[in-house]
Amino acid sequence: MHKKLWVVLLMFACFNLAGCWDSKDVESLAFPIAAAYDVHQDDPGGMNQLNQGPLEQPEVDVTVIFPNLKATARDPVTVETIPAPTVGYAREKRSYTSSELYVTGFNKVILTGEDLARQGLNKPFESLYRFPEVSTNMLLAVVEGRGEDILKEPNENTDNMATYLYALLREPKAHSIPATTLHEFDMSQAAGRNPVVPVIKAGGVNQVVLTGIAIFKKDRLVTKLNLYQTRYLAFLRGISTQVYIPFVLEDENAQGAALFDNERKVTVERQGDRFTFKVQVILKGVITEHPSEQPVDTARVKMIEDYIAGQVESNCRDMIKTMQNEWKVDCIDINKYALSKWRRELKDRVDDEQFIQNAEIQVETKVKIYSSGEVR
Amino acid sequence: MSGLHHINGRQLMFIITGGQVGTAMLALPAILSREAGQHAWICVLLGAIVPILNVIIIEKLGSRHLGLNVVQLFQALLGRVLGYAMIIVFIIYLALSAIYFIDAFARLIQLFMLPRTPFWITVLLAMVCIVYAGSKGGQVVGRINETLFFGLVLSLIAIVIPALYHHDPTNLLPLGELDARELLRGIFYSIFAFAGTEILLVLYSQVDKPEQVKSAALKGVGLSTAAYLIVTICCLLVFGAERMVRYSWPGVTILKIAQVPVLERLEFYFLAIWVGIVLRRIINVIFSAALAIAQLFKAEDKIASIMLLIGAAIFSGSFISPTVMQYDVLLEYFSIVYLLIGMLLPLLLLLISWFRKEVFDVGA
Repeated sequence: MHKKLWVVLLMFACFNLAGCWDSKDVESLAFPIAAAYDVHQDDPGGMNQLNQGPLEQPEVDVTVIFPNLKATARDPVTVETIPAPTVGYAREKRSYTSSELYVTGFNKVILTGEDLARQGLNKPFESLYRFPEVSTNMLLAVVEGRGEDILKEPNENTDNMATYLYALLREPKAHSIPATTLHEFDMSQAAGRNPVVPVIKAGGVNQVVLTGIAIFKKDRLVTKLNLYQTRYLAFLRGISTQVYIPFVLEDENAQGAALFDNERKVTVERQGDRFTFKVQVILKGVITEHPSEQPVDTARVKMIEDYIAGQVESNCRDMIKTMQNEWKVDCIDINKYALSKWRRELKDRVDDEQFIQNAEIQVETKVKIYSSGEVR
Repeated sequence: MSGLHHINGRQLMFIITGGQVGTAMLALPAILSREAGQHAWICVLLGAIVPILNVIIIEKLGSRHLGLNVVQLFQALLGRVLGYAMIIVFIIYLALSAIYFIDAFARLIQLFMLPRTPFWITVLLAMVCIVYAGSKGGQVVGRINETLFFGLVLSLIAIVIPALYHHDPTNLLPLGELDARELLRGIFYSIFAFAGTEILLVLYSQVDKPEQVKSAALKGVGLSTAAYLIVTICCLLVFGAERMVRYSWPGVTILKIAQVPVLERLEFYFLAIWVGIVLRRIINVIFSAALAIAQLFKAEDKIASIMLLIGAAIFSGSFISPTVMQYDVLLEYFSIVYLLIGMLLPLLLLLISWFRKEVFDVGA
């Protein structure tokens, strides 16, 4: 009896050696690795016909780029735009246009058109947070114009624009634009906080250039900063960067430069309803270019440090003034320090425009040059 | 005492931890943040007082009636009829908790790992493992708990990694704005997570050295508290209380933000380990119920058949499956029932034992 039972069990085990019975071959899968969300316009590729029901008025155009995994495919990637009432709904529509099974878990980059970003991104992003398969590590960027145009841009230096975008947005290199993930975008919408997202546009040898940073009030784009302004935002916000800062000394007409790492410290005090923030910007770096062959001694280093500290402090003050009077949103991420002391009292009003407008924000810059490179 | 179910103090420590830590650890930070904001981690510490008291009460009770198993203890203190009735209530409570645990486990697996696998298959496969483990007796259950504890350590390390890179210390501040009502609500909601110490009522008589019970069980509660505390603090640091309440299982979501080369998606590896950790909790509860039934019918050598029967009953019970949205309401009831049966019942037994001291002295 036992022997017969073992034979049955062995046969059952053998049947399972084939692996999953409903497995899908990799060639029959579509892995989007970048997507762009734009406000719906016109009839992209005649795809409006996919939306014919009463609740199917297209509001967003979802463009995805996915590699063609079939060996016989002529193009390395497919770029497709689907209009749909919501981003989540576009996934269902995609099954009408493609034979491959759509697998969303490998998406690395989300681009949003500027128009959509001004309307607010929580609605288009909602299904991304809800769907466990989707990674919250995806990198975000706002596109000057429409996101789909970037994905459809032919690039001679890479056969896959998505992987190029991922490398471009992944981490700050020698610039001050931070990488912003979907997770960070969500966390930066807590009380007292606001997100910032890199801005890109079509152009350059690789068809895409970073042009600055977008400031959001919660999920809505408020304004865009150029590369010069972005540097001072990074200093004030405490975004860890590596930047070159130019300097000109009084006794020399030529320009030099130093490479700095930055950090910041924030303290907050209050007198009644008057909040005073003290932001200390600390720059530590090395001289990368000196305008003359004069030796860089301690006196000269002190002159350079003072010059850069003055310039940075002045530019930071200008930015704070603009932030308080024009943008009226805490884009330098200091309100959270007030919340960390008086959360219960402030949590409902810390995001009011008046709060940041009426705050006194003092800036102090400390510059430390610890080396002049290989040359004295 | 049957040698088959005999465990040592070290194994008891891991069984207590195993009986407490399950899917609750992944949901607890969001539940406590909703009630107590940035003070959620304080609720974990204060909530641990309940199971500590529970362990002290049960140990006191057990040490006053050495040599009696749970059925004999109930009958000695409550009388034959009421003793039978209460032991049956206690067994039903353990079985219902097992249904709740296995349901939460299967829902989590369905959501994150196997969305197309039918719910009942996940439950069935889990029950096969649980019944097999429990059918081998207390010694094997003890060893399983000991081994799988290291899975819990690995899981905690995985949760700490994202917190090292994505933390914001201001999320924990200010500490001074404590509100007694919020804290009490938070402590109440933490109770469901700490449930599991009541199995000591059954296991006390199986420990080879009763003098080790108190220290081992308290160490077990300490380990569970440390696990809950680490996860809650990490989730608070990463998400902050305000944003965390949006997530059902922040203990898993936190893993989605870790960028680990080669592995890519840390949460899938984590959940593979986590399956063992959750099953451990269910094994302990069902095994305790089976042992109590075996003692009730004086059939401790028939534990395999009893495990099979309870397993079948729990599998059937899991078809009355609540939705994830109903968990919040259920865990309120669960906390109350744990307080009544897990906490107040042993306390009542202890009080009776004190008042009827002379009877037992005579009996002894």
